[in-house]
Amino acid sequence: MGRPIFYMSEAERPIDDKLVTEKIEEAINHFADYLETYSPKGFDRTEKERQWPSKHTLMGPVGKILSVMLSGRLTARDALVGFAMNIHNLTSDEPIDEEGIKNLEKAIEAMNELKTALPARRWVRIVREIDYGVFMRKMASEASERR
Amino acid sequence: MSFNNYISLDQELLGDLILRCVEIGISHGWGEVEAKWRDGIQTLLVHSWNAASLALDIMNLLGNFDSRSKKIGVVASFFHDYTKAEGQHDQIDKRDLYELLESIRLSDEDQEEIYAVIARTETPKSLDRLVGFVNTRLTVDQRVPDVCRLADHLLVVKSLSNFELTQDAERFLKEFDLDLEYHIVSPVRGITTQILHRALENHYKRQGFRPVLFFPEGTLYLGKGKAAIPQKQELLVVLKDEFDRLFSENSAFQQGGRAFGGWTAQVITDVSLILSGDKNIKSFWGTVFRKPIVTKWIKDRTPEAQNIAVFYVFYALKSIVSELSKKIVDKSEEIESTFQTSLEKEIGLDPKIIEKISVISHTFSEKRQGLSKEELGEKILDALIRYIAPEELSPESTFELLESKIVDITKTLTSKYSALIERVPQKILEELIDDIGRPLLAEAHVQAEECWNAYKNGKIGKGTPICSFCARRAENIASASLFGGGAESFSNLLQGGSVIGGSNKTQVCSLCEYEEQLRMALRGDYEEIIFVFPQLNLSRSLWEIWNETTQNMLAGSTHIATGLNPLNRYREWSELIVRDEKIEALNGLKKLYDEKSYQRAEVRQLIKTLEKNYEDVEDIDPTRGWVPEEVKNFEELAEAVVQGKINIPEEIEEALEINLHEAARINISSNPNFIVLLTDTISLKRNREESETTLALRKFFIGLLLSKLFHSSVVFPTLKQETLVSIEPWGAVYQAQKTGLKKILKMIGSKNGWTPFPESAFTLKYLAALLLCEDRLRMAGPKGDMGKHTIIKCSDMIPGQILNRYLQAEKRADPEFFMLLDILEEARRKAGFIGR
Repeated sequence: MGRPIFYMSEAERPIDDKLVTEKIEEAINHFADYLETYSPKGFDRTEKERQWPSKHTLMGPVGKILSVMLSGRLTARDALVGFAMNIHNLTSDEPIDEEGIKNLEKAIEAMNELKTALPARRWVRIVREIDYGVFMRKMASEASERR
Repeated sequence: MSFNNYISLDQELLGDLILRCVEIGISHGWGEVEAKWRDGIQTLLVHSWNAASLALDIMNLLGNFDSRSKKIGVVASFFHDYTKAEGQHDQIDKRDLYELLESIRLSDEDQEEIYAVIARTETPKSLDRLVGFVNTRLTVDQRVPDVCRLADHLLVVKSLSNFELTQDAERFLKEFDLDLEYHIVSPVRGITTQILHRALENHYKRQGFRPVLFFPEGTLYLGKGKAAIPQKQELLVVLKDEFDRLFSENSAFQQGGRAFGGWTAQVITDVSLILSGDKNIKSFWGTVFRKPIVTKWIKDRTPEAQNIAVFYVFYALKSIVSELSKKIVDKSEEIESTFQTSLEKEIGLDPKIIEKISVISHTFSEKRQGLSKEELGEKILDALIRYIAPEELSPESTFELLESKIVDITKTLTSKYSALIERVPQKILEELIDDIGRPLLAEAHVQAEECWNAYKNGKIGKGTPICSFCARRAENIASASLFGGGAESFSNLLQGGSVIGGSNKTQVCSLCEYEEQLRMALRGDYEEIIFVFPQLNLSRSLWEIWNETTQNMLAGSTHIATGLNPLNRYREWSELIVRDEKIEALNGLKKLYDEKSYQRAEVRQLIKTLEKNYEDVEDIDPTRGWVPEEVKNFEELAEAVVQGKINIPEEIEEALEINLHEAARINISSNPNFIVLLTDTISLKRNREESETTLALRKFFIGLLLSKLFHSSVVFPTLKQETLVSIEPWGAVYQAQKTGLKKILKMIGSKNGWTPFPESAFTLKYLAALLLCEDRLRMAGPKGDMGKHTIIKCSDMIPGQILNRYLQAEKRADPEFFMLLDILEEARRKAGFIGR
């Protein structure tokens, strides 16, 4: 195989790292706030002392949104919110409320801004960062509740 | 062992006043602030501390200072830069200063006076300073402000290799009619360099000069008049004395067992260590007879095990003879014949077997000698049993009998030849003197002439091989027992891809070889060397205590006086660090200055040792020959001994001393210029499986801990035998870059391998959190543990990922674990690693 004559590289775009961190924080905060209103079905609260929820249970629709966004299957904000609402209503004890929808919208907006601002190869890391950021935030509040 | 002689400092001033100042410094976070703004390499705490002790030194040197002036001078020197803690350079606020001075409990007049001195210590560039200068009047000795300024200006000297004095410093020196001298040594090898520093220090002290600043490569002295140029012969004598002192004071050199290198390589690392006394001979053979290959004789009781054990014992004996012959070349034949005669006399071996014994070496060949190791061992054993024990003896008795006979043979050799062996060869002393870069010796012109002639004559033959470590003329091939690995195997010291063999082997000079011999004698299993470069300029006596503390911490025993934990107790240290507790050896340090606490510690240690060796007081002295009747128990006896009321008889003291040293494993000489710590990798690792990168990270943690505890710069050389040239400590820890640690080093802001002081506190906290996370995951079982790379993987994971893994194994997490994760998150945020 001959050596390539041209290499394709991503266009250099100046990225403000501070802004990236802020947007990640914003997305994490909104997702975590939304999850406050999400109570997974089948998670027995009386068992709380003994059992901690799995990541899958705890993240609920947020986990689904993140995997859909990562794969690029859905990108539009409303489509993603609709997708999450459907999962929420099927898996939660309580139907989604207005505040929950607003939080989802804001989180998705922040993520979309990041997606447009950053090169594609950083997108995977950003999604992973948000995924585990939300998980950690939610688990920390779970831990303080159980203290 | 007495601690009393350590306390040679001005008790009232240093022991109390400076420590109270230091407490204030630590509580105000001066340990994390840089003192010099342009190229900060010292913390404000260390700079202030040094300024105070240097000012005291200068005042003592100049003389005629009353005690109040000294007190004011010391405190003013300590606080002369207090505004830098807040980032203000030139604005001194009277109220802020008084607030700081409050806890020292000084009178109002004294506080006024200190303000007046500080106002005068720097050229007034601002109105504040000028007002302070004009509105205050000095009542103490008028020289005090200038002394403080001189101390401050001398502390600007960061290295003696690039020595430069400020104009002000020169002016003050002239004013005070003081002269400044310094010595430089290059390269810094380790223990031999420490001895050289001591010898040169002695030379200057005899001229009336006082060592005031210590650097890794030299020492700076202040005194009056010109110091005479040292004569080579005079220095050689001093050097020899210093080496003798090292050997006599350090218990490690009284243990011949340390000269034992290992069966597969050269057995004897230093024959003079074995032959320097009956105690050493016993200790050497004790080590040999406790080796598994020899003890198998008793355990297995098979003829094969017996034969091979006997062979190896004679192999060790023959090695002593060979090494002895190498040391005293002109008597090698005589030594061999003495050896053969004593074999015949003591064990009754016939000449044929003796002939075979004389060719034993680690390359003993069955083909060439016509008999195997086992067969030779069998023949020796048969002859031995026939001669020394014709009646039936148990294997244990034969074993003991052989040991005593072998000890006797070695003693015969000692009595005849030990006087001819130089513990430090004259050649080593002479070569060590060549390391002196300044002052030029009186005989320097001879050396210059030799150099010139060598240059004029040009190359003769193949050229000169040079030492792989220090570039001196190489004289020996690096032996595996000293330098590890075989001289025939490839090392990074050889040219890449070159064919190893002939003259292309790792070659070393005699100095590097001797340095290695000393280190091996101190700790035979050492694999890691840590250089600790103190930033504090304390007296030599105080450094001996600090060195002992660090040694104990590495050796794995809690320090008796300070109660500090061993360094490798990662969990205990990490928990203190993540809880933001001040870990500076402040509490310990207070005790270091305090004579009484040392006495108490000494009493405790003595009681422990007495209890270990005797049942009660009656057991030590049944006739009550030296223990008075009123002494009823060990506590009273120890108390009386430490207070000097009772003198322990020599033979008992000797036994106790051994135990004291064994308990503490004090095995190195100290020097205010630098401390050398020798350790093995196993005591640094949590388990044997850990990777090299994990070990590097643990070393990094220990380095930061040492730096923090002892206000020092810590260097981990890339190679353990590496000599250091031109050392300027540029931060808390230096560690060579490792690919696996690249991300962590980037995260903590490491610059050219150095971790800067301002970042060191958080870095230590981050590493502590990382170590605790690893500990938690490991304890959580196989679902949490990520094998030998757990720490490195944790450093690469998002904290949420670590939590997820931990929860999979442990099912629940406590708030402390979240605190650790928060620290990791903070580090990532600080380094801008979020989303990267």
